[in-house]
Amino acid sequence: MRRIGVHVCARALLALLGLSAFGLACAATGASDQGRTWAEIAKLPNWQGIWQPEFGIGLAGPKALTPQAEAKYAAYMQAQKHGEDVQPVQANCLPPGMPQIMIQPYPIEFLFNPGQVVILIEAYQQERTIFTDGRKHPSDDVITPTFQGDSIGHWEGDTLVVDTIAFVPHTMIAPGIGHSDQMHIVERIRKLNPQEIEIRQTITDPKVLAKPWTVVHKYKHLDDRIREYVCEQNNRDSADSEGRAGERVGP
Amino acid sequence: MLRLRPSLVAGAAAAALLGAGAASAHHSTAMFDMKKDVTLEGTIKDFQWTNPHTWIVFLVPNRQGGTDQYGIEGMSPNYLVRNGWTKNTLKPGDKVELVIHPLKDGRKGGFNVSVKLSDGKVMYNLPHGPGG
Repeated sequence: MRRIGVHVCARALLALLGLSAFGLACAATGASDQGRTWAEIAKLPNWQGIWQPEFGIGLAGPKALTPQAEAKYAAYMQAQKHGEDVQPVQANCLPPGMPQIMIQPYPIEFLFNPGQVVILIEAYQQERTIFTDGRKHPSDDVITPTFQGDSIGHWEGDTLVVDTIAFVPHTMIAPGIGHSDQMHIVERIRKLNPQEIEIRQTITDPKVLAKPWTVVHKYKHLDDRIREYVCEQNNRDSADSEGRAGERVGP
Repeated sequence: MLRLRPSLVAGAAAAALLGAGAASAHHSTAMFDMKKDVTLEGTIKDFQWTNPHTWIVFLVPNRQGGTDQYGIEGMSPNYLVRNGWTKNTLKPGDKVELVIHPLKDGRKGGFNVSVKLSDGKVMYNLPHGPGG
């Protein structure tokens, strides 16, 4: 039988406090609607299956850049005219990291564990672990910049809200647009219908973006499984230090 | 035999999938002439069913009575298997027609657009139409 009492309690608290549900559990029972036990996971929305990004949305990137970022972008466009900066480091099999890892032309899959949502990403065989157990980000001193960033999240009803910080320097917001140590990504993930998941992604980076950039990415259900993708298996492409494209044509 | 034909379709969908200049995928299309289609008739020497790209080693008869060897890149097997291909779609010895976007630098290579098998069936390596 559905534990309606717990659900009502959490929502009443929300309404009263006007806050999002992060870390808030229903005081009366100690249970939550945050997927922190297997029983709670059973109440979460069903995101089983694999989901193919609708390719091309937001590919060109944000338009409202800071003067510094604008200058870097202009230099990037100029370099391309000389055949430089035309090949990204992914050609050398370095994964793109966040945010671009979420919009590769390969599917993703959501796995639920108590206190975690894990996103498997077929491209470059990556994964993101989103901690939904109520923890905060590690302190600035302790946190390690990574390709995927450090992700914590909470459920607001049927929507998973993910907060990610701390990225290695060379991931790109979009081609020609890098990020600073202040990049902060918030994603609101929900299933729209049996065939579609939506991720509403907002990126803030005061040193790069003149204002927060929001893109709504769509993912379509794909009738298949996640497949292996070992980039170094037979990679013939390359990017040199100036971003010039190479390809090994021999057998 | 080698036939040159300007591409009728700009290949925007194809360019988008490969990443075009806005390289979001494994690599950009900078080294290929995406506006040009070249048709090659010849024989499969090898079909490498691998990530990050499948790879076709292709022998094309030349004017000297011998063959030229081409190295043609294709989409990941993950993508192809979702679009009707298997690792056996091309086998050594198969006589086929390949349509490619050629390498800009003139080397014998390019990106596979489509394949016409000996039975006339056409398999696409790239999206080829609305919703393709």
